[in-house]
Amino acid sequence: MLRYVIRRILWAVPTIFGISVVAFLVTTLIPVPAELTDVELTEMLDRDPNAYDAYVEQRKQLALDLPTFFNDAPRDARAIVTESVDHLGKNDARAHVAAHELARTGGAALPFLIPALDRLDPAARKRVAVALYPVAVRMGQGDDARAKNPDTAPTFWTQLWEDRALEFTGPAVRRSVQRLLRGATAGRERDILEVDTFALPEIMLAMRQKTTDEDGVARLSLVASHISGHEVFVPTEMTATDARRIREDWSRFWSMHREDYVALDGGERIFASLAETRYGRWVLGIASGELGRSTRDGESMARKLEDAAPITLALVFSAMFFSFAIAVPIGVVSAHRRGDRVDRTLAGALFLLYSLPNYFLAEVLVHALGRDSSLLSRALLAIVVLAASTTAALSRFQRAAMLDVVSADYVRTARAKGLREGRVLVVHALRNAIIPTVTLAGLQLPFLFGGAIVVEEVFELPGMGYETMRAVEAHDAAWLVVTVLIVALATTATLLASDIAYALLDPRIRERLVKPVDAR
Amino acid sequence: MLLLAMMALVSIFAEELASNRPILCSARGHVHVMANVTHPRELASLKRADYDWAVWPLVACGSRSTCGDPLVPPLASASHPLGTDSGGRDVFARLVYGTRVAFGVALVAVALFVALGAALGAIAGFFGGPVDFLVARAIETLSAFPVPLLALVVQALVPHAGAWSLVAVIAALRWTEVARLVRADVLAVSSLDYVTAARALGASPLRVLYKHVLPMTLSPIVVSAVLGLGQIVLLESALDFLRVGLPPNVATWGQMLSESRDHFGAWWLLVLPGLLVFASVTATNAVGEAMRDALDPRTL
Repeated sequence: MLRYVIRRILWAVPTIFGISVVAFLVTTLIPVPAELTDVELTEMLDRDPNAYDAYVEQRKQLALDLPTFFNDAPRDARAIVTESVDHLGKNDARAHVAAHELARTGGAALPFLIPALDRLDPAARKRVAVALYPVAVRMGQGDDARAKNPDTAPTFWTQLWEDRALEFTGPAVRRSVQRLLRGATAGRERDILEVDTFALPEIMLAMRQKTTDEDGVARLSLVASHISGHEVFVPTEMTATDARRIREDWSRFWSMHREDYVALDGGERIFASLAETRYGRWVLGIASGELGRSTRDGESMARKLEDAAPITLALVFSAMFFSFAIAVPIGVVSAHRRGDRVDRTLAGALFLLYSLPNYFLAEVLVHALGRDSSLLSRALLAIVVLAASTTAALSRFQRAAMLDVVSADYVRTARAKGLREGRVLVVHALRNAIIPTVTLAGLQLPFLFGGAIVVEEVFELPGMGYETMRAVEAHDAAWLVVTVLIVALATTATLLASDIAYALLDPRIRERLVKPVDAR
Repeated sequence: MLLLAMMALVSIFAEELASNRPILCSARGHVHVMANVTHPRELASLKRADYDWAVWPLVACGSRSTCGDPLVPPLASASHPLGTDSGGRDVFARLVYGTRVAFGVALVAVALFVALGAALGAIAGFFGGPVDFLVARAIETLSAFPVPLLALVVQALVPHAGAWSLVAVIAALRWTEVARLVRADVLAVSSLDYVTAARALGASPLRVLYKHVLPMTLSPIVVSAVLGLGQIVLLESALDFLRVGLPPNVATWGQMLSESRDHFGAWWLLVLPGLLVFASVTATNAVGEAMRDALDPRTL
């Protein structure tokens, strides 16, 4: 039995993967800002470097700089250096942008850059060295005239590398970071500034580990802001909440920008070729509970769901309960009196109810009873509308299931023993006939969620459906995609649960269920 | 059945029932035949009085243009037997053209998803192995998405959403139902003796599939096509009711129903299209279920 359960759960894994792919494909329908050409980028950078950084950041956040499913060359610090040096060497349309990128990569680029510098022709070497001037400023060497002058800049950088190469190692940086954590002095801070962005990985590591020392976090954050250009507000009086906020902010920054400052090797590279894609980013974000923010009002998706989901769940499950409570007796009665007038009347009425559009019924009720009624009465009407079509479907099904059972031998045996008709029907027949109906009820859930959109809209109940319609009006893609994903996953989970429950209840079905598609 | 035939006729001959141009007319010395269908440009600017003589459709109004006072109730005016909506457009004309839109969209969508589902289901069932695995996982994956919700989201996000994007979403999700039925039938039929005999005679796999296996699976395909027709009419009108279906100027039943939400007293905007949706869904369900009972030996 356990083997069956495990097997069934494993079968669901490709399905969940497929669901995530489909939901992701929905996100690709969202219109995105157009990509600028190299010339436009250069212009933008000349006019306002901050605007350029904002543009790059936005594309990064939407993962537009990444391929969709597979990244054959994840862009790490080493790739940025090679690329920028290449553009600067050719001095092409992208050279200006490349210089800016190189300056942003900063100290982390030096270990790959300095050896490459020797292989360049003199003119290209000068261009690359001058491009690094902002890095020298960040390192506190801005006053050094050699760094600014194209003729001397290459010498400046090779000399700096000869003097300091030993500081550009992991253990050395780790020691500087630990010293700064213990207490602030100008010298300790300078030690870190002198290796520039090369220190970021160690700072981020320390920030993740150090949980109690609030002032230490503040110091690290200030230094990190200085070298990365990513601003994080640090108050003079630090509290535990501030420290948590700052650390969360940096951890978001790092998850997005780590590759800009670190060279990927071996296993990391293979992982990055899958994770550093649009799909990878999106799935990892969802899986870590980062549902994103509504583009409509900037409120976090989790908060919104917390408000809206209980209303919808209450509507859907009470509708389910009521329709079950009504449908089962109706099914039993009409199966019992099969063919006579009661059965035919019920069947006709149920057939019509089955075909009645729920939004039409809802709208007629609103028109008949007036719109400005209380919340409670509107909720009740919504449940009635939702339950109507489900009741029709369930009772038609229950009748068929009953008919299958009442002609079975064991029911005839029960009758022959002289049991009362009511007891035969309820205890002997219904017990077996109700199992398929329960499964059908589970399968009705997605339909009920679909119906909830309509009734919440008509009766103005602020549940998930109502929010979805507002999101549609505002083109709030974040909300829509998350809703689709949640409903699809919930459906899969329900199916999984009902399959397993079914197999637990009925060993005959287990055999068939091993082929999952035939089962339903 | 009768009702469905009537609706088909209505949608084919919509121009004869309601149009802002005459069926047969003479104007400025020319005689135009079927001007309502051909829409000659020179008639566009003509007023009613400009014609020498003309034979008009049942209601001389198009579905999109203003044709009278707003919100005239039914039977109050001879030229608008079923009244007008808030834009002064004739309700009868809009209902007639709405029939065409509803069944047009539904037929295209059904044709697409049935073809797709039958093809993929047959291939999966007949060839088995990795193909079957892929199709089976695709079926499971896609059936986890409620069609109305995904259609709603796609219509909201796609730029220039309209009838084609709607049809595409429906077809992309609904084929799974047909594929599941066809696959199960193909699996059952493939192991029968006469298929083995056909194989033994040297027929190619595709010929066996097409000539010997597929015909046996026809009845569930037909039944789900008929039932699907009604469900898609329902879905399309529901999306129009939520104002995310077809563009707002297209005459649809759902769009009229949603208009009744803004004009509380205008009951005819609620009841007339609502009853039409109800009637067409009931009719397709009745036909579909009757066919299922007739074709499926198990329910006899």
